[in-house]
Amino acid sequence: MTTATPPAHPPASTAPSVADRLASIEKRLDGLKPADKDRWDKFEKMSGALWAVVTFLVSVLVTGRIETALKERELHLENVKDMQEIMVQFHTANDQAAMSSALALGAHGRYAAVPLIQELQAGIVGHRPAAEAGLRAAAAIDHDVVCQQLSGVVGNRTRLYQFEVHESATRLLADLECVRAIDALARYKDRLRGATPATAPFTGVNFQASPNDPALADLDRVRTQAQAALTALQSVKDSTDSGTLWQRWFGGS
Amino acid sequence: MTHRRIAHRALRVVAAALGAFVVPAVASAQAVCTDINNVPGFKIVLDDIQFAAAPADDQKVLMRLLISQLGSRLEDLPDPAPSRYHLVPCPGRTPVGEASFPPLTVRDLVTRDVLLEVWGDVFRPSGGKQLVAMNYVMMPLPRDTMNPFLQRQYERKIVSSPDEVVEWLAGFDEISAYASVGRAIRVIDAQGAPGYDSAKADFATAAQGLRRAYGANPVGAQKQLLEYVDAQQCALLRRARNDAAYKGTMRLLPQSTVDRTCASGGNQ
Repeated sequence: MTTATPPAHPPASTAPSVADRLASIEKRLDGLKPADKDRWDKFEKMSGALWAVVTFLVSVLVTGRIETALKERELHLENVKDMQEIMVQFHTANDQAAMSSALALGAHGRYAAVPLIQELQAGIVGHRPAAEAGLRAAAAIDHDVVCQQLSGVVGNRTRLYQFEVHESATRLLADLECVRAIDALARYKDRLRGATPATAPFTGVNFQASPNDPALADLDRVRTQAQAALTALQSVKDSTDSGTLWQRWFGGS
Repeated sequence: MTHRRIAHRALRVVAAALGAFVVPAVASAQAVCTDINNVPGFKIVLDDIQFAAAPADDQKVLMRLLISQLGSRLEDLPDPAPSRYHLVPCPGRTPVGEASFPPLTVRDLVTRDVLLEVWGDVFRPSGGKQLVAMNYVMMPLPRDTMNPFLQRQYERKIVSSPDEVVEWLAGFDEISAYASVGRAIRVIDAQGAPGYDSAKADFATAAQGLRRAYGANPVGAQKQLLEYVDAQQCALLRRARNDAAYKGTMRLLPQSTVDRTCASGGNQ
């Protein structure tokens, strides 16, 4: 009978040591650990809070706009109510009282522009200086809106207004230095150049006449006024431009 | 708060103050004369004549009477229909002198073919006399050469009833004379040569009427107006002689006649 004897030493090349095996296991375990978070992960994590902030800002913005629009509307209605009595008083006032009413209307700024233009359209003798003064007062508050409304008058081609409204509007555009109206005024001047009483963009002041064409002298008056206004505005624009150039070169205010 | 907002608020406060206090106070004597826009043709605007001795109700009746009588008288004038005067009453309107007629307002009145605006006061009889003050604004008299504002005072020695005063006022030659001056100027401007003959007739009528009204010794503004009318007549004669477009009888007048007419009318 034979007995097997165990080898004295295991073969060194084939059996890793315990330490190596442990090191290998640890290395594998390290590889199984999750990697560091990238930007997307951070964004993903923060997106919840971010969405809440964006939603909050949008809602604030939208609500603000809606509130502003509603307040603007309320203000408009409030101004209309406020002006209603003054408009009646203005329309029926004598020449002296008309000036007070027009200035009171003008103090309502943009809201007064249309009623004052309509008062010009009514053609009540003695009210024109007052209505013009009212529009000047309104422009002191809302310059651009009043200029825009006056540009609308000269831009109208449907004979919506009588010639005195056009004459006053062109004068006021110059007085108020509505520089943005230069192009509209230039087009208006060209349109008037070839116009006759029958084709003029405005009517006469005899509201009972049919057709209520302006007289040739009236057409000439508006032409002259439009030319004068255009020249005045052009000179305002030129001086403003040259002022800017000066500032650009030499600075200062 | 921006400056603009502050200014806006301040102006709104001013507006409220004006609306609340000033406007109702001054607007109590309101009067707007929309008929000026609606009546076609040459117009004489008759504002309020204040009868100091008459109560408010009688004042209205007297004004209605004056409007009726003066209107009829103007209608009866032998003018062709298109150039006839139309009386436009403006009850409640009382201008406060030249300040009520800034250039823009005068121009608007001229545009609407207004020739003359009249208003005045009939004072209470005192010491057996009655004083009447009348104001006239003639359009379109050039302000630089001729004052279009005339004020006249009349003294009636016999104190009469208000009805008689109205009748007397309605018979004034001056009203149509002043209107004739304005119409003549307007016709020349608007029609040119075709209007020369009617303008000449108007100037002649005006000169006669004014001389009759002013008497032998016109004063200041009256004398100036007479000289102005004569000068206009003279200028018209010269213009008619030299205007090729004019084919009427004035063209045939000899130069000597024109010179004589001009010399007799204030050496113009």
